[in-house]
This record gives sequence, structure tokens and C-alpha cells, in this order.
Amino acid sequence: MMNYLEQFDITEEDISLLKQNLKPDVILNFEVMRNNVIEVLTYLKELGVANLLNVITFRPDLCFRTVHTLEQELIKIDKELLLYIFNNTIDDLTNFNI
Amino acid sequence: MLSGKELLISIIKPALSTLDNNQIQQIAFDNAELNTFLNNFNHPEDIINLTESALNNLVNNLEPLEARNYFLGNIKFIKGLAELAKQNQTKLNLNKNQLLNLEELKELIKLTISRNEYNIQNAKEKSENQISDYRKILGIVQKEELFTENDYNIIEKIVRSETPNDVDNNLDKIYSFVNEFNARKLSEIYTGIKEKQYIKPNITINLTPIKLIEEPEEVIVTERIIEDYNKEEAIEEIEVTPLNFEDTDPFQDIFSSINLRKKKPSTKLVDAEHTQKLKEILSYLGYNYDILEDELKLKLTSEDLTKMEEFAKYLKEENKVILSKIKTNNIYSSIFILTKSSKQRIELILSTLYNYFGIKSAGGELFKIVNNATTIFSEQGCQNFVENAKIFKQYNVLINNIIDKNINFLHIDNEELLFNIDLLINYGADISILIDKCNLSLYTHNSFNSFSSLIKKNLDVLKQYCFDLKLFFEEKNSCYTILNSVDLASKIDQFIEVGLNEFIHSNSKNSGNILKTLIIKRIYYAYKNKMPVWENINIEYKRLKDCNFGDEDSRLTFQEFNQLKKYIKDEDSIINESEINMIKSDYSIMELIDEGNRPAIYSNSPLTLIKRKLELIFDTQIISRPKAFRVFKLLMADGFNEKQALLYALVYNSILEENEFIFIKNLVERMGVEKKDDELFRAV
Repeated sequence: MMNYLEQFDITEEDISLLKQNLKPDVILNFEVMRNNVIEVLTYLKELGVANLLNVITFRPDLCFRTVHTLEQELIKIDKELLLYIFNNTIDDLTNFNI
Repeated sequence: MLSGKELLISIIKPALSTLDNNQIQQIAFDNAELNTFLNNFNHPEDIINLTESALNNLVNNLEPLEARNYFLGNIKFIKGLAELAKQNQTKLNLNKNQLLNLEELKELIKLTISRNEYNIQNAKEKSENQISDYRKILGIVQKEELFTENDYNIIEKIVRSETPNDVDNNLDKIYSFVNEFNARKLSEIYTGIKEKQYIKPNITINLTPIKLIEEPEEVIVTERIIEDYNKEEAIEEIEVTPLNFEDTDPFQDIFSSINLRKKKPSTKLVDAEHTQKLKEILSYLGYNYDILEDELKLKLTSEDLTKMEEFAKYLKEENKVILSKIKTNNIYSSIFILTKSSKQRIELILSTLYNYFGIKSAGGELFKIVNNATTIFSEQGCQNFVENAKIFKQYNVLINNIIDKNINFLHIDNEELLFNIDLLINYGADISILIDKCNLSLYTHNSFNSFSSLIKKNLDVLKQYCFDLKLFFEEKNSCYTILNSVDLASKIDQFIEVGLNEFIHSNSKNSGNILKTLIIKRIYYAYKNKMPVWENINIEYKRLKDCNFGDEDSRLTFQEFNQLKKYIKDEDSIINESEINMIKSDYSIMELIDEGNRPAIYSNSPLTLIKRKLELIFDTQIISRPKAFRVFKLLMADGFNEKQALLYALVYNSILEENEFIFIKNLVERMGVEKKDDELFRAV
């Protein structure tokens, strides 16, 4: 029931890998709170985040924030730098307090 | 009494001829009348202005049915009192209940007005579609086609719209007809045997083979199935397989086509009834079942609908707070709560939120929890949350920060949280700050991690790289975020290899903050210079692709190389000194490298010890010693030959100049050519 992620260029194979890599309770969160996940991923995609699969894999917590809260956090950082971190070293977002 | 089929036709046919502007005008007129009354309804005495017909129409909007007459009686009585008071020119005195009735009447009028306005607004736009829907259903009935799921919805709309006063009874009758009709039709499709409508239901199976051959259509097998069907015994059913009269000998094997008492999961009839009930429950809560994906629909087939219906009533009528917080389009959260939660769990979560954190329904917190942490309402989620709440309270954790940043942390596995807290307490860490800043690492969301949690792994990494953990937790807490890094060891390796090891450990009371600053500076530098931050896989592959040391089979494609890097990264093992010693004893090549390339500084100062523990020197280039052993171990386990594994391990993720790479490569190539003692001597 995570097939809705395909609208974000995440393939069936990726989804199958996600199901192997993420813990069952995290997968359940993605299934149940999909409306919010869609809102967040749409926002990030529009912002210019290229690899949304990485967001789901390494920062699933972002997918369950409200878009408003997330936006308030992200606007504190220069947009170009933010996108660079998202697309190159998403693991380090936390060091920028995100 | 009309049958379901006749009833449906009797509803649709007149509606097709009356769906015109008259209805809209009538509704508009009613609304104008109600508005005028409401605007002038300032005192209880004004009730006399409400006409009899308007009152009757209003009361028809009341649910449940039983409440209508009681309410109508009360209002008429008040109206009578008002008329009497007017005639006698006395003051109208009403008791509390009567005044309450008038307030309820006002609400009912407002509700009716808004419903009418909606109908007027949409009547013109929808009329064309409605007519088409009405004709479609009529066509299906007349042509005896199969009703689809969507047709059920259309029928419901028609019945609600055309017979608002008797929706339930009419729907019951019509659905019974539709279900039976569909079941019969599906059975015909399923068995391939068409039954005749006029045949009496008691006729069962005609076992006369001659007749079977002559008139196979006469065999009423499906009728019997439907006749015999008992909801209580749904599991035990009769399965009928199509008879092929041309190919088989009916005398010999007539019973083989009928498989008695074979278990079958469900029938179309049961499915249709179940689906219909589900639709009704979801519709009652304001959701459309049809938009759900098939997988979820399938899951819902196993749900206990009676229990679900009762719980839906509780959510809608008794404890409205949860349902009122769910976003209107959030059907998935609603279904989850409906199927996986219970009255007790909801009440427990609400009371815990209030008693421990003062969170009431009015703030935005509950809204976020209901929509973005819905799984908290499951049995496991609720249990974890209640236990975690005690911990949050004990350590004065800022609950609103968790709700904003990592809301599902509220109900993470309680045992895992307790384990990590115990671990951190040993180092004197401030639990409240750690939960605030490191909640990502306090819970592992990946199933492949060999560590119980990321924080456990990163504490081990810091220890291995000579950080004093007690001093680390005494530092300014901004550096704690490095504990959330998935690949912290690789980052420290990189700083070691650019000669910053000494700098990081120059002040052990500030090592954590120095490391974090270096990470941030490195990101800025890479960003400004448009470079990759932590690795350059293209250069690494270009250099390594031909280094197979005579083993042609071990040549890797770029894709394989990429997979290899991922394997090393994902295999989040760390290595300690005793493991290093074991590797050295197993592989002399590693002993040679280690003994020959560690910094030759003869001092016992802490920095010297750190350098000898963490560095290997190759001419002017430093290579991280823990990295080299860690990667070598993984590559050997993956079937690499020793020299290749060593070279790959040394240059893994290293940013080297061409000459530095050649130096290391030549050194590895030469290894084993000379005797071990000579090698050691040369290295020293």
C-alpha cells in the first residue's frame, strides 16, 4: 500500500527495497499517514529536492511533519545550500538543526 | 408490498419526469420562508409564525426516526401555549426543557437552510448527470445486467434524494434485490449455467443423464446454492464446477462436478453484503469507500463489521473529539482508527496527554497526533505511548518539540527507549536534551542495522576514535546532533586523512564541537566549490578498475563497484583493537601494513597514542587505520583476494592525488614479493 509513492518517481523496485529496509512500524506509518506524506513530498519536490527516496530512507521523520512546520524550519537556511544538502548529504541535515 | 425491483423502478420513473426547475423553486421558496422565520424568531412567542407544513418538513430532517414525533409534539405544544398566551394577552412562560427545544429548533432550521442552499447550488449542475445516472440504473434493471460497485452508490444517492423519509427501509429492500440479482447473475457467469426465472426454487439437481445432454440449461444448480446458503455457515459451502457435457460421460462422473463441503473463503453474495455494510459505515463517518485501493479493500474484508459499526457510533456520537480532528480527506487515518483502535485506547491516550502534558483537544497538538501519528491508536502504539509518557514526564522532555519534529517518536518501542536511556545515563548525558536533539538516533527506523540503535553505534564509534564520552556529554549540547549521523565513522576517517586528527583531539573538552564544526565547514566548502562532500566515486572507480593484481575475474563494472561501496556503507560494523589484532594474525599482509605504516613517534602523550591508534602513514598521505581494517575485513568476507582487498580498503573514500594513489598501489603490489622480515625492515 505504498504504491502511491510512484507518483514521486519512486519505482516499484524501490518500494520493494524500502519494505525490506524500513522497520514494519515505519512502513505502517507510511501506509496510514499517506495524505501527509504526499503533502510533504510534493512540497519537497516543488522545492527542488531531487532524491525523494533518500528522504524516505534516511529521514522518514520529515514525512510526518506538517508542511507548515517543515517550511518554517527549512526557510531558515539558504535555499541553494539546503538543496545541496538534501541532494548530496541528507544525513547532515541534522547538523543544520533539521 | 412492492418488491425491491418494483420499488426501484417506481422511484426512478417518476423522478425522471420530475427532475426539473420546479423542485429547485420549491426548495428556494422553503428556504426563503425559513430564513424569514429565523430572522424574526427573537422571542419564544414568535414560534406562532412557523407554519404547520414548514414544521413538518423540518422535523423530517431529524435523525433518528423515533425522535421525530417526540420533538414535533413538544414544538406543537409550545406553539399551542404561545397561541394561548397571545389570545389571553398573557406572558408566555416556558420551562428549561421547552426553551432548550426552541434552541434545538433554531439549530434544525439553520441546518435545513444550509442543506437546501447546497441542494439549490448543485441542482442545476448535477441535474444532467443525475438524469444520466437514473437512466443508467433503469437500463440495468430492465436489461438485467450486473450491478457494479459504482451502481450501488448511484442507487443510494437516488433513494436518498427521492425518498428522504424512508431511506433505510427502501435501501434495504432495493439492496436485497440487487444483491440477490447480482449473486444469481454471478453464479450464472461462474458456473456457466443459466437458470430460468420461472423454475420453482425447490427443484435441485436433475440427475437424469439423458435430460442433461438434451437440455443442459434446465439443470438448476445455482438456485440450490442460493437457497441453501446460510450466513451462519458461510465457510461450509458447495462448490460447483462447470459441466462439460460434450467431453465427459455424464453417467460415469456426474458427482465430480459437485464438490460438497469444500472450504471456500467467501462468495460473491457475502462479499457484496460485506462491502455494502462497509460502505454504509464509512459513509456514516463521511467517507467514500470507493476511492480506496483494492489492497485496503481486501484487508477490510476480514474486519468484524458489527464491532466496527459500534465503534463508528462511538466516534461519531459519544467521543467526537478524535473524529473532529481528522482532516476531511484523511480516510486512511479514519479507517486505521476504526479498525485498529478501541474506546479504551482512545480514552487512555487522551487522558495521558492531558494528565502528563496538559494537552487538551483545543490545541493543535491533538490535531497533529491524530493525523500524523495515527498509529499511536493501535494496541502497540498506545501501550508504548503510555509507557514513554512516563519517561518524558520524568525527564521533563519538551513534548511540543517532539510533536513538531518527530511526532512518531511519541510511540516508539518503549523497551528500545529505556535501553538507550540506561546507556546514556552511564555517561551522564542530559536525557531531556538528548531526546530533543537526538531522537532520530534513539530509534532505529532501518531493519538492516545490526545495532540496537544508531546512538549505540555512534557512541561506540566515538569511543573507537578516542573521544571521551563523559567529556563529550559535558560539552555545549549543539554538538549532540552528530550522533544522528548514519555514517559517522566515515566522516571522522576523512578528517583523519586530511591531517585533522590532532586538531580534533587537541582539546578533549571540546572535541565534539570541533568535529561538528568541521563537518559543517566541509559541507560549505564542497557546496561553494561544487564538489561532492564525502566521496568521489568516479575518481575512485577510475583508479581501482584495473587494479586486479592478475585476477581478471575480479574486475568490477561501475555498477558492481557502486554496489560494493553501498555494501561497505550499509554493513555498519565497527572494529575494535582486539579484532584488529585477530585480522593481523590471520593475514600477514595486514600485520606488515600495520607495523610498517603506523606513525613512528616514540612518546606516550595522549595525542601520540591517538595518532598511533588511528593513523597509517603512506609517504605524505595519512590513511585511517580503523577504516583500513574495517573495510579489509568486509572485503575478505566478500571473497576478494588479499592484495585487492587491502588496496581497496586503503583508498576507500579517500581523496588522493594521483601520485599518492600510485605510491599506495605500488606498495601493495610489492607486498609478499620480499620476505616478511625484509618487508618490515624496509618499512621501518
